[in-house]
Parts: sequence; C-alpha cells; structure tokens
Amino acid sequence: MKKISKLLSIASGCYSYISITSDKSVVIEGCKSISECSDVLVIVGTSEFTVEVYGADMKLRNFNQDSVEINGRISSVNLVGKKRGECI
Amino acid sequence: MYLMLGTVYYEVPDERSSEVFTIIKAKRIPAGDLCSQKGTLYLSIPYEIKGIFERLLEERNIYFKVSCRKGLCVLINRILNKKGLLLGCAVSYLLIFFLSGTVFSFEILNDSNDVKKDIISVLYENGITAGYSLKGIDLKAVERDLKYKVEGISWAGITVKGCKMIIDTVDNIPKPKFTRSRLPSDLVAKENGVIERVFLSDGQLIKPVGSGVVKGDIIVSGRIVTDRVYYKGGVEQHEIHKRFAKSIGSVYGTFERTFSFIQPYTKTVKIISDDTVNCRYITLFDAVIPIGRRINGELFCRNSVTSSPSVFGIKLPISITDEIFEQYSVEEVPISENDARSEAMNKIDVYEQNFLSDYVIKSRNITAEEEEKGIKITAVYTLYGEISEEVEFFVDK
Repeated sequence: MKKISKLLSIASGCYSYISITSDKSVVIEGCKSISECSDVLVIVGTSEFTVEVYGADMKLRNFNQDSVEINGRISSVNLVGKKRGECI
Repeated sequence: MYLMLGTVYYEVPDERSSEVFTIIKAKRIPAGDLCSQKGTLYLSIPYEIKGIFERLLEERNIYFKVSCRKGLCVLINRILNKKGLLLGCAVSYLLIFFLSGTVFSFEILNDSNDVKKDIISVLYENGITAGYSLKGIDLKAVERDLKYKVEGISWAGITVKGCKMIIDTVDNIPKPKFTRSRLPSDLVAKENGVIERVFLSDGQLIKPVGSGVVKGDIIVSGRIVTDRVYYKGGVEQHEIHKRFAKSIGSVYGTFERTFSFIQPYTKTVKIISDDTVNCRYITLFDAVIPIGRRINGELFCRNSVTSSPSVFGIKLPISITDEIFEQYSVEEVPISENDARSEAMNKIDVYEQNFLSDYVIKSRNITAEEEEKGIKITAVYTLYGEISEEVEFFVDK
C-alpha cells in the first residue's frame, strides 16, 4: 500500500526534492508551507517531510512556485517525518 | 523581469506571517529576503507588484509597514515629488520641440551695411524673418535668390546653427571700366568758362588751355585730320588723312554758376500734439514680438527706450522696448526777416553740399533782395572743375 501511494505521489509530481548547492544555499522543491523563517531556523513543510534548516543569517527567496531557496550560513538540514493525520 | 524599478521592503507582525506565506504562495508573488526576527517578518517585493501585494494585505487586515525602498523607484518618486522640475522639463521639451526649426538671429558675414539690408529684405521676401519656422523653406532656392537679387555679392551660402542663421557672402570682384560703344565721340563744353587743364588720351584738341568756351563748343574732336605737305615737281601737295576716334580725356576749367530762390516769410514746422500712443515690444535675439497694437502712421514721432537685463555683466538676448508715438501736424508759421535770412543761408549750404560737392568753389557772391513774398537770394559761384562731357557722333558714309 505504501509503495502504491509513493508511486502515485511521484506520478502526480508531489514529490519533494532538496538541493544543497553549498553551505550558503538550499533549494527545496515541492514546498507546501513555511512554518518558521527566523534567521537561525527555517522550517519548511513538504508533502512527506518537514525540513528544518539550521544556520545563521538565513533568508528565504523565490517562495512562489512550490519551491523556496534558503540563503545564509547553513549548518544542518534535518528531515522530520510527519505524523499520520498532521495537517500539511 | 521585476527588478527594473527596484524593490520595496516590508515589515509584517510575525503572528500574521503564516497568512502572508499563504498569500505569497497562492498568488505566486515573487517575495524575497524572507526572515523573521524579534516578532517581525521582513520581506521584499518587486516595486512593480507593490500595489497588488499591499491590496491583498489590506483585504486581510494585515498590518504592514514599508521599511525602505531601493532601486530606480526611489529616483522616480523623488522626481515625481518635485513638480517644478517636472514642469521645467516639460516646458524645455516643448520649447525645444517648437523652436527647433525656428530662426531667432541672423549673422551676415559682410562688411557693407547696404548688402546686409538687401540680404535681410530678400530673406523677408522668401518668408524668412526672426521668429518664423524654417519648415518648408528651400534654403538652396533662397541662396540662388540672394545671388541674383543682391547687388555687390557673387555668392551666398546659408548655414543654420540652432536658432541662428549664418549667411556667408563673397563680394563681387570689381571689373575694369570699359565701354562697349564703338561710336566716335567729341568732348564738348558743358559750361561757359575758361579751360585751365587738359588730360587727353585720344582725340584732337581744338581749344587750347587758356581759351574760353561757350556751352556746346567742341573742345576735343573725334575727327582727327592730318595734313601731310610734300612737294612734287616744285608744287606744294597736301595729303589729307582723316580718321575717327573716341575722345578720351578730361578738361578742367573755371566757370560761373548762378543759383537763386525766394525764401518766404513763413516756415514749415512740425507741431506735436498731446495725443500719444504707447507700444511695447519684446525682443528675443532678432525676433520682435509686439505687445498690444502696432502703429504704422506717417504723422507720428517715435521715441523708443530699450531696456535689456544683464546677469553678472552679461547682457541677456532678451529686451523690452517701449515706444512712444506722438501725433504731429505740419503747419506754416510766420517768421521774422532775420529768421528768413538764416533759413535762406541754410538752404544755400544744402545746395552746395548737394550740387557743388564735385567742384572747387573759388568764390561766392550772395545778394539778397527784399520782395513782397519774401527774400530773393541770388548766389553767384565761381567754380573750378570738369567742364567737358562726351558726345558721340555718327560718321557719314
């Protein structure tokens, strides 16, 4: 069942891609929401995970077409799995 | 694409940040520099969609504050706030647009004032005056017209530099004086007098220096007759040769001329009335712009006062001319005998300047006789000057 839902999400384009181009930029595609965007922590919600980006002097750019670019001094990217029934 | 006019930076309370994110995502607004600090969400929006973004925030009652603007929009706002600058630019543009093909001053590169006047009148005939547009005027045709109509120049070139028309000319090269007439001629006396000096290039002198001549006498003849005497068989023979020539020369002598006139006991004077008309003109370069009505009457005296402003000693090309026209009438006024005599002397001076300037006045005898109408003045002059004139004649076949 999980496999079927995964295949369906890939087919419908709801999959998220995270590109860490350097320690200064992270691009998250398939972004659904922004929960927090302080200068030290950015929390971005995707269809499957909640992405927590830690760093300093962070700012978000190009948040308009299901993607967001996080710029700043990035120290870590955490993927937090969503609990069943959590609202995205 | 959105970076042409610059960026607007906003500050939104952090508790409404989720709604702001929703707006950005739903309306696909290209927000940038998103960052939440100390309870405030900072973000930037391109200036082009500022209005849409602010309207969306207002619809949801989200308080926002514009923290700063960067880019071209700042300059545009500054310019738009300065109405005087905008007005000045608009006026300058209109002036440049309307005056681009208009001539305001003329520079004629010629020393002769007569030639300058003729050139100005020919330009006026062709519709070129100060303050008028040059559109539709063929300057090449005007140049040709100048060459044909203005005496004293052999070439004219017109150059327009901004609002100034420069007319360059080349003066005529004086040609040596020559006569086309091939008829023989005599030098005939035009006055009754005594010959004192003769300059002769061709012709036969009939009256020698020192002899008296009557008006019409031939002094130098164009019929040159030579008589060659020779002896043949002890008999005197005459070989007469006759040829015709054009008498070229000048004969100077002393002669008398009499000039008489009656000076009446009245004098023509100009009486100026109290009726005056004021006219004002603005002169911009060479263009004269009248303000109010213009006077074109002959019976007006004109007094004009021109005032032109100057800045730091530099005279500006604009001036205001006030003209006062005073109406006058011409009347005959009785004068005394002494005044009549002095008036007569003035007339004699004018006569000498006008008619006797080519001669040397050796002596002058003026007599005055009182008559009923006025004083009769008779001036007898003894003059020295040219007393001959050329008279052509036909040769009989």
